[in-house]
Amino acid sequence: MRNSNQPNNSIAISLVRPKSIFWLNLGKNWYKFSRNTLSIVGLVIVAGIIISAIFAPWITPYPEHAGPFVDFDNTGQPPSLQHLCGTDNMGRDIFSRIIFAFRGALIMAGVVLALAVPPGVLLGLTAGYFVNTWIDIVIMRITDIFLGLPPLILALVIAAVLKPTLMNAMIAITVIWWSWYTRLVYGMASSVRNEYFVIAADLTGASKFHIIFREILPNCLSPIFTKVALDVGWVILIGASLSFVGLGEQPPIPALGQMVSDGGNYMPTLWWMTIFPSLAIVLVILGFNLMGDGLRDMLETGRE
Amino acid sequence: MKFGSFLLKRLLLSIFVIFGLSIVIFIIARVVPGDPARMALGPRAPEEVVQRLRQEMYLGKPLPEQYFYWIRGVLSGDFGRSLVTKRAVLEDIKEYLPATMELSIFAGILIVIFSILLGTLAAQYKDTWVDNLIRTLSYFGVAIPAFVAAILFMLLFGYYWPILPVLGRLSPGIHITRITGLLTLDSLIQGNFVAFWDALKHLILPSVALSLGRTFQEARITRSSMVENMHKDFLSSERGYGIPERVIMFKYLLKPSLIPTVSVMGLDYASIFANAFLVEMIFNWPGISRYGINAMLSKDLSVISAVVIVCGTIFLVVNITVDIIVAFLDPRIRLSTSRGI
Amino acid sequence: MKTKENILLDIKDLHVWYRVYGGYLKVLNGVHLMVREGERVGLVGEAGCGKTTTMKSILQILPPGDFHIPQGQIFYKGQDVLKMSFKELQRLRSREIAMIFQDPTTALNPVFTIGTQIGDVIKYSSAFEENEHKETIKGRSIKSLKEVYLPDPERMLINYPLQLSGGMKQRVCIAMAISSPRNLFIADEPGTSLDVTIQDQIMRLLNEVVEKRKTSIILITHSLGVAKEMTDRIYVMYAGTIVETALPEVLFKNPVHPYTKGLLASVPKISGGGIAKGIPGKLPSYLNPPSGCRFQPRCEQESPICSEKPPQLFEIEKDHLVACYLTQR
Repeated sequence: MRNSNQPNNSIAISLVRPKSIFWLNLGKNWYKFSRNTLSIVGLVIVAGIIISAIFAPWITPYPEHAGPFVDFDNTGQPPSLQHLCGTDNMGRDIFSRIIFAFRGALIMAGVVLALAVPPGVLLGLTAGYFVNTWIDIVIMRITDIFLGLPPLILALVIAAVLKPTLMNAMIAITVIWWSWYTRLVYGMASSVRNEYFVIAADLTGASKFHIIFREILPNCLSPIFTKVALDVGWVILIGASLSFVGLGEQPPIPALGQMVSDGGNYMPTLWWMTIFPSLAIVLVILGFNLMGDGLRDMLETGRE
Repeated sequence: MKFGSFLLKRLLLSIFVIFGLSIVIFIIARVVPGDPARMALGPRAPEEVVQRLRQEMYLGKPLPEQYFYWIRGVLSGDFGRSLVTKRAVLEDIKEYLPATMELSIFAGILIVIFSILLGTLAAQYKDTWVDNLIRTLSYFGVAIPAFVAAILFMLLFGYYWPILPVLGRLSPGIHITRITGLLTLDSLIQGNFVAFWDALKHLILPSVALSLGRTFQEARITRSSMVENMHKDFLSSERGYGIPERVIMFKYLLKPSLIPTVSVMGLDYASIFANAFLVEMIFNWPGISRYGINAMLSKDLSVISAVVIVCGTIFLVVNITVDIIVAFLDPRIRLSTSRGI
Repeated sequence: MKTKENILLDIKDLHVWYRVYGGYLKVLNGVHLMVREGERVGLVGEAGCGKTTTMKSILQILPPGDFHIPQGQIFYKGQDVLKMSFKELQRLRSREIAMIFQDPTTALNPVFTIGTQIGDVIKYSSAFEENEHKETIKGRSIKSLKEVYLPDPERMLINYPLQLSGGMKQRVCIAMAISSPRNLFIADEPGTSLDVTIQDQIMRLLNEVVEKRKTSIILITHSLGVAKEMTDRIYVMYAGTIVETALPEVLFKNPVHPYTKGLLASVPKISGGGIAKGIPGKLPSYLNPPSGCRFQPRCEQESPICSEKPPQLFEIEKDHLVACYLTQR
């Protein structure tokens, strides 16, 4: 969101890159973020997930269980000190598999967002800049089509018609996800478009490129960042929903939804097979939600 | 009247979106590698039969032509034939759709009632333990996906505490003749209260699982909108003129506060429908979502396309309805001249 | 004859604190104000000095939960408002006092029609209950709207606030105030948010209403000119205290308090004299207000007692009270 201190019709100030403003105010921003303990909790959870995912092969007790591994002597062990979350029907340690499943989840979220966000933002900026022209109409109507269905349904369809792999699951989600960013950015870009400082830049001959990236975009960045942070949780959720029905990562590579689904077959006796992956999913979403909320409070100057 | 043109624009847009969606889904379905005719009949069918089916399905013709034939069929109600059930897709949809509608409508009602209740409570008792409790519950509620809630309910009520049924729509032995397909409604129409109660009990768990996340999200929105409106000048002004407190609370505070909540109800329905896909599987609920998922896993293309179109249309209708309700509640929307610039 | 019975409203030593994150905003620090029957009282002061807070305290419509009244009394017709029961407050608001807010746009609920809002004001006013439905609510609404010279009152009833201009909305607020007979109006800077010609019309309308009904009125304004023309007595307020009060002619001819003097000197004169002087400085922080006289930081003169204790109102001549140590020689 624009700094309320920034005068409307000054081009010079808008040339200052927004990133430097953020870092200059890092102390103040951190204060705003840390005022809410829940945001810190979220940050801790997210950091924990990311670190454990990165160092999975070294910190999990049984890294080999995340691959083709079978130990029929140890099947169905309840949670214990050796197996924090118990073992599953094939004797694999569930805790280790969960950590490895985080890997796949984070990679998926990272790739999907990296692929979906830039085009989405770009389209939104373009449509916003050319607002009320045919470019705007075409872009936004196409976006409406993709927003016309809940993301899960389309993702299921796409993932289903392609072969079930992690790659295809990512493609499926990416194909839909960009449209949310287009709509978000379009809303902001189209209203900023007609602010004085943009018109002034236009009149003084600034190139369209300059206007879009140096005038309009900096004013839209905060909500984009917030949404990205929150979206990591949601993409992981959709990924889990896909793997729940068998689309996405295939066994023996562990995926959270797949583990929940497998565990469902052995309820209630091997209840830990379902409960712990479920809790892991909840934890991931919770962490990113809390952190995202904190980011929103920090980046977007709300009413105080 | 401004409102009429507003409505017309929305309708046209929606029709456009549906057609666009149909094109997208058609392309996706044709992208599938493999021969649809061969897939339909299986590897053992003789070549001439497959060839005949290929001709019937217009597979040799260029894509736009194929699309035309398909759309023509769809508009007249012919969605093709299901590979799995071997029936006309339309028949399958007629059988399964009401189940999903009943579930989603019930879940939707739960969301509306409880989110307004919780949100209002949190706003009234702001900063007390009531508010904090609701806020904490909200964080967890939002983070629990519907299918996780469903699995947990299965565990809880299926095994440890069987006070509510977890499978299907009716207990064995109970029969209701289908009129609308909405079993609760049908049983009431026939005066069969035993059946009604049974159907209702079966509805509870899946609906709660579906509505959990969104209820808490809407509760937070209701709370913040109420808190914001509580301090608005028009309330003090109305109070100052002598209007009694209960009228202020239930009329003058409630209506403006509900507007943000209602606006997102369309999204709620989307999430209910989307999550129904998984929840129906878990609870063995014979709805269109479960039908659709099975079709997706078996690559039953006609069904997949049909389900997407039907779901998309329903979703769009719900969105328009929500927009109408919001415009009805908030005169600022229906009377403002131009949106955007 | 000015006997005790004529006194309608008597605010005595009112203190109001708002609770905020860092502590308390001690906005009102001992306000004294008196309104007699049929009197037109002007309350003058700069933005943020506590005028609206005082008025809202009379009707007890301060924002819920956030405020605290450590001491003071507000007597209306002999009864302390601060101790009134809910029902009595209800009667006070619907039958005795009406407040017309400063900004008509925020004072009206945007999602209800004018008809609904004014109808509810009438419906729940105690006076209406006593009236035995001799006229319908709608009839009374239309009558009130006509009295404020709103064109086409029937159509007005089904309009929403956003469809009206600022001046029309302000008239609607006045109509709501006069829809039942009342004894005291409080007009909070009427017409300030509108352009000057409309503001003039609104002021004339108010004047007419008050004269016709012989009600009292507290007119809040930051324009001394308006106060002089339209009131029988002026109270000057600064930072939550009344610093001076007198009849308008007396106040203008013989201002005593340094703040009043500064205010009068700040008014630019067309007859020459250049740009007026103004008063340097700004309102004190309410979070940590000065312990003595609140004007002391900006005052040109000074004496040690000024920073110790807040000065009390003191009658320096008949009907002319000032709160300043320097004038009490």
